[in-house]
Amino acid sequence: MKEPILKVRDLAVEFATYGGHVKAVRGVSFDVFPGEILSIVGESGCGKSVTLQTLMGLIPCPPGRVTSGSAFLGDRDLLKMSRQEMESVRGKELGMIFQDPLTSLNPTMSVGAQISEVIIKHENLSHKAAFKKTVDLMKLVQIPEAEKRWGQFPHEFSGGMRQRIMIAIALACRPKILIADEPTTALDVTIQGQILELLKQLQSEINMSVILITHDLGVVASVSDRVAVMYAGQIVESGSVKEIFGSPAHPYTAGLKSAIPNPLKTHQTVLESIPGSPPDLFSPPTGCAFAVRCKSAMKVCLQSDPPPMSLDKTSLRADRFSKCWLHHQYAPLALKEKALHA
Amino acid sequence: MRNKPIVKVQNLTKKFRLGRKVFLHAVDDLSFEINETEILGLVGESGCGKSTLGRLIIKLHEPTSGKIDFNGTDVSHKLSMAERRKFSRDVQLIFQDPYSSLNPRMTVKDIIAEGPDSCGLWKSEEREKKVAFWLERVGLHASHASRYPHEFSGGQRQRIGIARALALEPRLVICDEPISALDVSVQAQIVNLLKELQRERDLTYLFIAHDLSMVRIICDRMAVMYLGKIVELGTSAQVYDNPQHPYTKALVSSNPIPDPEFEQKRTRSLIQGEIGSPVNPKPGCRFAPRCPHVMDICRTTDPVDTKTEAGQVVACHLFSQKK
Repeated sequence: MKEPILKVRDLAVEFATYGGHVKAVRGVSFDVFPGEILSIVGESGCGKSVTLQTLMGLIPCPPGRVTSGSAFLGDRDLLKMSRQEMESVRGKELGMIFQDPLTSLNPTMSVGAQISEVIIKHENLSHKAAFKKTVDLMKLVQIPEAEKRWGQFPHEFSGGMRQRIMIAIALACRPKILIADEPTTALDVTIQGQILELLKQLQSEINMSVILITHDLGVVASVSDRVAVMYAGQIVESGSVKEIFGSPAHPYTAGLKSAIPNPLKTHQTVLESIPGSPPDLFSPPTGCAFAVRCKSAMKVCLQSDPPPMSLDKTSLRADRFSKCWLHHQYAPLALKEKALHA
Repeated sequence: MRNKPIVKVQNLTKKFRLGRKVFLHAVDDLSFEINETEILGLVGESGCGKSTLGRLIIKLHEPTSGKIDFNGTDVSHKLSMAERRKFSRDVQLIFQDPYSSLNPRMTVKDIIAEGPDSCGLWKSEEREKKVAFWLERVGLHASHASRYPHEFSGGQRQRIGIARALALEPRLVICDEPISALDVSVQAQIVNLLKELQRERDLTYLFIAHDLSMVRIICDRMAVMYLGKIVELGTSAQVYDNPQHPYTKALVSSNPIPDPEFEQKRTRSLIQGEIGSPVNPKPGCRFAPRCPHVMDICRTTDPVDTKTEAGQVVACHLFSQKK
């Protein structure tokens, strides 16, 4: 068993607003292993972006506040770092790419200068050496005529090309972990295919780990090794990509799977929707957050929050679990069947 | 499904003038039909002109040239007030963004009743009852009638948008990406609602989307657009399961499928480059610069629509030459 390079334990984040405290992340724990692609899936507002932004130290504080938890990168806790320490980690050991490349690039700087800025800051290279390295990076992310495009500005690039620039910036210092927050959501399908292929190829070339945040189960299936499903600020199920799609163990995962169209199932004409909408995180329910939308909800589901239950019989793996009372040893089997084999 | 066309489009062209001798060819010489009570899917990447086509059919844009027949009458000229009123009752639009398409200063009741009020469709004493009926029909509550749009979630707002469109009892509804702003679990709710209403009221939909899997499942036929041209048109099964045009092939092959085992075995035929510019396009096939099978003729002559052995109509020289 490999040692994880990032260990997140019991992370909780809340935001102070005029309406009260929003509990955006409520006790999230996960590990990232070297050289893997971990996908975090969930609908908007489930806390997936906030979780990763907290790790990068990008949550404005106030209104944001980390109320509990730890995140160990090696032997250092990311959440307890000073601003200066964080600055040396961010960009160097953790790289990040965002959903919308146009708003995350600086419109007044040439793209080449934006890439070499990272290199100059972290590696103490001369401007000349940084220029050479930048051109190599731009070639690595397959930007044609890299020397010529070095001095161009973000508005002169198309969406797909801008996302390649973002990837080049994130990879400039060969980070251990790349955090990709919905990197293809703003792109067209054919461009999405190109970018995902590039990410996969770079990931195996420089052997980094990728945390991919997305809401598109198709993207998850095509690139990831492991998956964590988030709902209402918690990870409700986690496992390998085959386990999540082959035998989903949480009613929410099963529901999501049957709510999306799968063109391989030609007989599928009606999609099974999940009724209702996600809970209000100002005052999250005391029991399971999914209970009110779950067709197999029991009395206990409404009363107390289920702990993560291991689904691996050898229990050597901590990453295969489901937060659902149906996996309790006394839970009725009939209900479990109904919820998970729709 | 009756195979009687409700909309007939012939050589429809829409150019937007950007400057002296500079034109954006949004929709370029399109001819197709929408049959009564079918769902026709229209897919393509952003900027390919699919929304403009929808807006041309509902007469939010005047066409540069070409003809649109709705239900046997020509509507391509500028409509008079009376004609417009009649036409609007028959054709309605559902918008993509449920946040900006509802007037924030109007109550839900007024939003839904605005159309019928202006056409004199509902008598004043039945207005309340009708609004309540439509709210409940789209899965909301009659007591929501006096609330404002900001009090609803995205999915609920889209339901209000649907109620507003259907309150006029139209025959053709143009759905312009009605689900792409919504979350996955809510998308399924809205799609199921649209399908139910279509069956119940014998509606015809032009369903504009970029999600191929969704179109494959809910549409009877689908048309694939690329830079203002329809490159392939056929039943959803024909087009998705057996694509013929090189662009459709690339589109289908880059569509991610939620099945990891299938994805691992899959070989993708990815295309290089990006969508070109619709401003003053060069003659010839629009897809030629990215096409893996490009020939000399593709750069000079526009391909014509050809019916293939598989059954769908394809605009590509690979097929017109075989004949």
